[in-house]
Amino acid sequence: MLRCALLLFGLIVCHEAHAQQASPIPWDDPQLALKLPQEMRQKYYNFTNPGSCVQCSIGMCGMDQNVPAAAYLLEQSEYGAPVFHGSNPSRVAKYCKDRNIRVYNVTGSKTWDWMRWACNTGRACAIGAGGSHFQTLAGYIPPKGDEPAHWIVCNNNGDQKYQDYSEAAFRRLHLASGQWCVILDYPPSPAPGRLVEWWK
Amino acid sequence: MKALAFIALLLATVLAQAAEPKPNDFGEVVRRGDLVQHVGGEDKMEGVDALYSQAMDGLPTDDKDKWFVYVVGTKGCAACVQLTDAWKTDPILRAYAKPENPKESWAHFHYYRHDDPKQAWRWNDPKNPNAIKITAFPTIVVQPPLSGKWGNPSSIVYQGVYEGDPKRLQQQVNGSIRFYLERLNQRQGGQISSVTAEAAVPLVENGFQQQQVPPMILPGEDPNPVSPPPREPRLPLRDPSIEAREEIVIVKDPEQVYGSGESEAIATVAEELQPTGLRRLRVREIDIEKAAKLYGVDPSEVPVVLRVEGQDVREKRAPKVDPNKEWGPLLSLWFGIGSLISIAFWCLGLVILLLFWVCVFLFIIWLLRKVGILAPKAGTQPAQVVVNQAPAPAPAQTSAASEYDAMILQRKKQLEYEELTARLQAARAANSAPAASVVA
Repeated sequence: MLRCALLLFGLIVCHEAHAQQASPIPWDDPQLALKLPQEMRQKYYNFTNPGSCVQCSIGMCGMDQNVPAAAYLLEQSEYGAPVFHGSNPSRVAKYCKDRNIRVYNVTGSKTWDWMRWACNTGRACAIGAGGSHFQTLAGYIPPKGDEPAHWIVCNNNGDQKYQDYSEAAFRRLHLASGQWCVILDYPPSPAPGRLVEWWK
Repeated sequence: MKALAFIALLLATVLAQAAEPKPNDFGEVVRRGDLVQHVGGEDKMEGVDALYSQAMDGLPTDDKDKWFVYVVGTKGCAACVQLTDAWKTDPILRAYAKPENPKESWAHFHYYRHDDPKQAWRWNDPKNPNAIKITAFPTIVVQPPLSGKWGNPSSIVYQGVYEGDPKRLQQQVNGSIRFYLERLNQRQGGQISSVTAEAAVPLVENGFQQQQVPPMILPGEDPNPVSPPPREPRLPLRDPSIEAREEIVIVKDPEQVYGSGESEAIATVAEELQPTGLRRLRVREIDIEKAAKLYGVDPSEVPVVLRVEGQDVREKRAPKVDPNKEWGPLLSLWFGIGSLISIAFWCLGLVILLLFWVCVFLFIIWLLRKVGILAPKAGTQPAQVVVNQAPAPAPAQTSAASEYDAMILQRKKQLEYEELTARLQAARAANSAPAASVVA
């Protein structure tokens, strides 16, 4: 019985490891919604501000979409005092209103459509991902031919690298926290500008 | 006392619990159910009704096909403030973007602060030589949409410094977008129709006259698009609100194919460009690379003299330099590294020639001495022989002594000769006497 349980546990671990892996997509790929280099993502490390994963995720989106009131959420700034510790939708709504940050605060089964819309239009979003945890959704790559769709997530508890999730793994991840996502109601950021010699 | 201590302990415990970080309350997520709450901005509805009414709304419109127009400003930049104010009212600028109303805006608009540490990674990335560089403010950048409908979203379609003229900006931006679309169309084999392409360029409304739209050039037609050149980032950080300084800029030919005549011709033209009267402009010389970036000088144009005001070229003149010109004044030989190298080689050749003739002369001398035509060189005997000999008298003394010795020797020889002669005569006289007497 114990052997069977261990085998089952091992299979689940292997399956999860396969379902979630480091994404090979570079940070400046225009397919991504969150186009931030890793050293910038590391500024929103949850262990520096314990229990502030929601603010870390929203702050990362703020940096990407050039919304300073959101980007400086964890720091003392002209936009207000730093906001630490755990949050719920009401608290997010309150401090966003206080700092005049426009957000879509979405809960329930609609989050899937909103997350797809956000990624499709180049906007990152802060999402519930994992048990009582918030992460930043960095992109959604729709299915292409035989290649299935996959989601790219940046975890503010980990090494802040982009993690690639299959559709099923991402579903489990999002449901584990409860269906809640926060999207900044601002234009997306442009793709990182490159001097491409298009005129030649 | 114990009671007071107990109360204090109780209060401290309660306060410590209150200061502990709250965990995320995901129970509220479940309690809310399907809900979309829009926070911030102009909230027209309040309360639970507003929440549920918004929840029934569909998703926002898909804006992934919108172009990007963004301004990069910095702290303390008066022109940046001027541009931000102009963008609130000017119809030309608002045809591109409505910053306060993104949903009705033709393009996604951003105003980036160059000095914002949270955005500094976007500019001048040392790790990526192709990353966008911003060196002047306010800089306006145009990029294609993220959808990829108009090519690579990372392409910089337009980058320019706003100089307070919306009409000029409109011409530059529209020209760049059209040029970009033409190039894109050529690469995609003419898949973009002219109607679709024109839809990508914003139209200026509210009574402003639209720019004349040129026809779309299709592949196989005249491939000579009249288009603005790609704008390269300008080097100096210049605030357009500050009056630009007028000066004369000289760009010399780096290859110096015109030799000494170039400097003369340039000096003449630079003098012609000076204003009349007492006012004199500063004359500055820069290299062709810098001139190309700052003033758009083509390398084929050099040597050239410019009269500039800030970064605007007011007048450009090419000095008339004749490549077949004869040698100029002697002093002009010193101009140019080519002349100096020629002179150095000439001097070296002269020295080598001189050395050669000296060697020939010495060889002939040696040969004549060897043959015996010339006396051997004094002091050619080995040194030890000289050392072993008695010190020789001075040359003058030697000749006098030898003459004296010769006279003494001659006198001695004469005296001996006379003595011998006398003895011979005496002997002859003795032989001539009678023989008997001798017998007897």
